[in-house]
Amino acid sequence: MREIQQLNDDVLQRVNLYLDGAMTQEAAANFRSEMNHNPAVSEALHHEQSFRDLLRNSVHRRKASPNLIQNIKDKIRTAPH
Amino acid sequence: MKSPQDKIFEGEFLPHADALANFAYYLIQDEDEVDDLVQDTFMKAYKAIDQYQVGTNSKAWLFRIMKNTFINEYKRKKRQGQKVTYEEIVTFHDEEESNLTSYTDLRTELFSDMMGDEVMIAINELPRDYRTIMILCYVEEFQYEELAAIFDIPIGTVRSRLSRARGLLKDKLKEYAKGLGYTEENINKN
Repeated sequence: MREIQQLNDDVLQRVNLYLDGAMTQEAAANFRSEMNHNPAVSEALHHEQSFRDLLRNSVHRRKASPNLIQNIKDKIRTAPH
Repeated sequence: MKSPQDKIFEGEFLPHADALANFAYYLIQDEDEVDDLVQDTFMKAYKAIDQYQVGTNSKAWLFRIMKNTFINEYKRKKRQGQKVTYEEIVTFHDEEESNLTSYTDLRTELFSDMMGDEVMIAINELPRDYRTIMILCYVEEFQYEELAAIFDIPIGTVRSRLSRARGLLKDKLKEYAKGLGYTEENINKN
């Protein structure tokens, strides 16, 4: 049971490094090859990608108001650098 | 006639105003203070503009200034004049990376039933250091090296914080899924 957990942790860690673009080119190529041959790895990638999409789509992005931008511009006109 | 500094400011710094407003919100979680933090950040950037190398990563540079401004100004206000380092305000101590990954995964189908608001609530409940690094990585799409520079932490710590943040968020979403009527068996991927 513990070995299965460790194996899953290892897969998840590599999936995240791959999606974060944090693997070397060689490691990424090996990972892609593994993914093509191992459905569990491709499934883990699919789940992790969905989780990230959910995160991205759910975050309410703030915008700087036109007033704020104007205030900043006004301030730098009089600020020394 | 605009000075070269003004051209850099308007051409390279101001386009990041929305992203900075977003980061400010996830740092302080107080709508009333977001504009002040954004404005303070831009003023500091302008004063230090001679240290900025044109064409380098202005976004990461500005985010680092905002993080430092937050630590030195906003947290200081709440701690009555005491300066604090970012590490002092980190809610959780970073642990060894090997201890952090746990195979929490959720069924993909579950995501379609989740409302954005519920996800936002879960994100906002995360400790600040996890919430912010997650937003910067997955929404602003900073690379590990950039995150390490912004937060003044080693790349290994970036990895471990992200791993911990994902785990915590999934755990919160799992609780939400149970509230929707999912059982333990059909929440988990395996």
